[in-house]
Amino acid sequence: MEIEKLAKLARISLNQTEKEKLQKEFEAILGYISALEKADIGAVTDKEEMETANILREDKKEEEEKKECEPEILIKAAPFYENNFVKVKHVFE
Amino acid sequence: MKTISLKLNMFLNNLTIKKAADMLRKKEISAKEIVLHYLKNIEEKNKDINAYLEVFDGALSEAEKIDKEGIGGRPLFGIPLAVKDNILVKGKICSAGSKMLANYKASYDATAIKKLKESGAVLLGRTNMDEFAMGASTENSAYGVTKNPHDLSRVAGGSSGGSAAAVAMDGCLGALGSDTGGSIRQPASFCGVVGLNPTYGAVSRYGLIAMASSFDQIGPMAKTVEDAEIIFNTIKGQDIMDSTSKDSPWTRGGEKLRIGLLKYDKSGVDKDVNEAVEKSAEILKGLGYEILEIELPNIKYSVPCYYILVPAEVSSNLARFDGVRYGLFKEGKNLTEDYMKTREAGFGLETRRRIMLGTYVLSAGYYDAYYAKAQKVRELIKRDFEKVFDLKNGGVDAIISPVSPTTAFKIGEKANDPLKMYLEDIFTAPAKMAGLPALSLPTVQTGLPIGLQIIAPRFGENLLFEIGKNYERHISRS
Repeated sequence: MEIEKLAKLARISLNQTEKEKLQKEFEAILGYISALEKADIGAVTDKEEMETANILREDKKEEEEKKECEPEILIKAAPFYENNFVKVKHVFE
Repeated sequence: MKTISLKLNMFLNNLTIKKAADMLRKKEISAKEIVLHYLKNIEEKNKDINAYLEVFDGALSEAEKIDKEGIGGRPLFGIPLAVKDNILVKGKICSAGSKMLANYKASYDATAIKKLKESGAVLLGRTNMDEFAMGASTENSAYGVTKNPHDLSRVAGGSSGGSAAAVAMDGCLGALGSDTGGSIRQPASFCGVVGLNPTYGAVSRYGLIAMASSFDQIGPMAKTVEDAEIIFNTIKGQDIMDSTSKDSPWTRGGEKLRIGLLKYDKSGVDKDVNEAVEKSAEILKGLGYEILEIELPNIKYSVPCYYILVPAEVSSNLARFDGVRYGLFKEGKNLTEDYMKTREAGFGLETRRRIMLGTYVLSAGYYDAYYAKAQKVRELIKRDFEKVFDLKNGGVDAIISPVSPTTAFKIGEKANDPLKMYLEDIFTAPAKMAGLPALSLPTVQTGLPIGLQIIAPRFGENLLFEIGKNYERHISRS
């Protein structure tokens, strides 16, 4: 498992020292979590897992939300913005 | 600063929320006087302990304002509280202990904060924490460690170390923390205060900076169980802004209760901790509770399971920190590099470690072996608890166990071994697997504080409070 590939997937930079450190730690951590292989999940099927359900609501702005975050406050939190838009570099080159 | 009479000072040094609320109601003291007293304590002690990252400017004027308004039946009127740095207070910086949000000002109040404000509480400031709530010592904070008020060479625990220390150093009458795998209970245990991890869904997560969405809960930390109960009753409740929240439908309790003492491997736990738990079981027996030994067969998988599920959710939740809409921004050659440089500069090593671990267990080829498997193991652990709490089949009403395998360790002792740090969660993670409420309350100790953990079925907080208050009453008498 390549730390570099993983870092790119996670959009994170690491320096060389950090890469080496993480590589070692990962081996130990993955070794530890692989203890789960021994767990007998026989009784749990995928269907039984799905005890959870999605809570949906009407697609309209709730009264509370209307009072909450004024768009101006939210936009101003961005490092770059223009008019009422957050400004970013090109997504596609 | 205004001076307060000597007699009043004596009262002020031994306050609880309950006592303070009585005094405020009888007008024996004003909100301003109480807040002044705590601001003074913070000024004296915070430089050595680093519990508070920021004391809010407006706290005193807020107290003056509510004095003018009058109590109006508000339960927390004038009560000074601290807030963990990952809970949004509108207009105030909320940094989650991270450089990534060093200058981020909250754009709204968390629901829990809104409720505290409506109840008349005065928010004194924001407290230190492990970055993005990842850690068990507050050593992962980008703003320095918080020291344990009982021994400054030791950690306050984490990730709510600042909140625990703020209460323990008498820098507030109570605090909000957050618990994902033990982050309220373990620092409460280390600092000798009470900490409640509520049932998943009991308190709205709206305005809590997300770490692991199926585990996170905001909860109270205080000097007594009754105080924790008062804060909990104020902040709990269903919220339309959090679809995972629910009102407490609780009905059980009152009759003679059966308490299960968790069977665990004592060799992996400090001798003092084992003794504290054994002694507590004796005390509870003496109080009339029936004590039985119980086992949770899949509990040994809790920590490995936790460290698959939580990093997975973390990697998803922290993807939003990319320098685009808020927070730190570091420039690269293109958009991808912007992200990578921003996240390298903004996130500490533990945060990056967990994001990458999460990315790994969710990646193609590994998802089934790790994440899907862990979800099923979580279900197994949940069922273990259901069996143990099944009163119709010889089950118990509540479970007691240690909170942590150790007392507060020395600063730096576990900092270089992430796995060792993860094992701190061995007793606190299981309840979070099943979304159960759990309380940490101080046992009687001459040395370092040791907390006792009580776990109840979902929405069983009233059981925790009842047992906790009985226990507390007994040890304060003896």
